[in-house]
Amino acid sequence: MKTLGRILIILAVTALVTTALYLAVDTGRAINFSGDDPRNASPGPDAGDGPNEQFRPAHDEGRERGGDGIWVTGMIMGGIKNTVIVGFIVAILVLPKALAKQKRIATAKNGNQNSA
Amino acid sequence: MTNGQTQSTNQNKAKWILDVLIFLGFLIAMEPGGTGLPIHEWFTLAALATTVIHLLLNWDWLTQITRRLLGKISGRTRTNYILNWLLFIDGILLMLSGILISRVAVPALGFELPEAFAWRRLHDISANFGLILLGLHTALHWSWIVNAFNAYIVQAIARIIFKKDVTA
Repeated sequence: MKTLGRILIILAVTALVTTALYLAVDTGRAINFSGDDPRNASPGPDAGDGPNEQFRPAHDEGRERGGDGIWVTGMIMGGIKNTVIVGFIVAILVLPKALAKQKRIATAKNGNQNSA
Repeated sequence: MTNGQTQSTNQNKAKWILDVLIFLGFLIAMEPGGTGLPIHEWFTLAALATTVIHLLLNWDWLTQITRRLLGKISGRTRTNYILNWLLFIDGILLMLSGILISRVAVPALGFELPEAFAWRRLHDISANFGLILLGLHTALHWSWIVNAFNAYIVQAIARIIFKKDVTA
């Protein structure tokens, strides 16, 4: 029962934030694109017949051109790239602290040896 | 070990495993070009459930800090709390924009939504921002991650090897 209540609270907060974000973005979009909604624009020479052709994400084009090997390579390379980005941020924040701690321990050790 | 300690250790273990899975899941979901749109969309929709479990497992910390936020708490805890909220909001924006530009999962559920440039761009921006937030979140919990890795993986492997040595 307690867990169910907590789940409901989480879902309620999620719904609130979702609504707030949707309204904020939609209002902003209405102000920015008033009269220039890209959906109303005439399709360019490369645009296909379907409604989604204009908005096709860049990664889909690669899928059509490449074979299975290229997808797997792309996924692995992308995974490595993302891991490197996260690793870089972690290293920037964690390494200086770890080095400072090591230095502090070494200084404390030297101080103890000198006093002995 | 008392019952309370065992329960706490088990919960910690569950938290760690779930967090590793969420981390790996996020990295996989970040590459829709590799997985394909159906996996990307269904996988990230399912991530909502794991996020709820993650929040439930950290519920005590969450409520404690929410109550004490305006009181006396360390800067690190406050930063962590704000970062968690940012990650939560970014996650919702990522999911919301993903649903609004969905071309597989949402149409499969019988809904047809008009696509828009704003949501498409927001999806990309929130995904990149999420990756940075994930890095900061990981950095803040680094010592816990390393300690848990030692306790649940390294020591478990060592125990298996040691046991084999004894039986041999």
